[in-house]
Amino acid sequence: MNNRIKELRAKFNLTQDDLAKKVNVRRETIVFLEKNKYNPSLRLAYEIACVFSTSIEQVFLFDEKNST
Amino acid sequence: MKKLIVAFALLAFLGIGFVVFKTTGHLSNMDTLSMVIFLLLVGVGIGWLIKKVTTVKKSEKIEDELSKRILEKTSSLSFYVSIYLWLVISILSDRIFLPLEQIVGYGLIGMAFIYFVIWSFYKVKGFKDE
Repeated sequence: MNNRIKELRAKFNLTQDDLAKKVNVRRETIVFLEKNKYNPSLRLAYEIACVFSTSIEQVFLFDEKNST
Repeated sequence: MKKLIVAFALLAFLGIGFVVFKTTGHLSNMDTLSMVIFLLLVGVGIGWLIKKVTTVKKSEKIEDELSKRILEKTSSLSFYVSIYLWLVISILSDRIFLPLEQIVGYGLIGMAFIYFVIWSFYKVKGFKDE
């Protein structure tokens, strides 16, 4: 699963710290998400999508070929 | 700069501790090793505490879903690996004659080391597509 968090964050002019505070997680979690090292919970995915005023599937891109 | 000061303070603490222990009596190699491990654990503990205090001061969250997940994964895997550690220790204890307290001590240090290694692994690699 890939995501567009970095791209959307730049578009909305948010720092990692800003986004972390908005979705109530630590900055490290945002770093992990942007590097695709962690798949968020559904709740966190929803909160992130809400910050960018979009849907979850617009932020998180599911790669069906590599899914197990 | 702050990180540098903390790192320097920790190194100084470890260095002073080492010199004090070394100069206050005769220590065998095993005593020295135990002391170094003890000082390292204390150093890591102080570093962890400083990090937590800094986080609270910045009014950031101490724990979130990622940190909980890392702790869960680390705990379960390190428990699993530790079973094998104790198995090896129990086999070796028949061949190497050491006092029980010493064997238990090495086992505990081994468990702490395993936990630290696995925690570091997850901190660096993360867990993609789980």
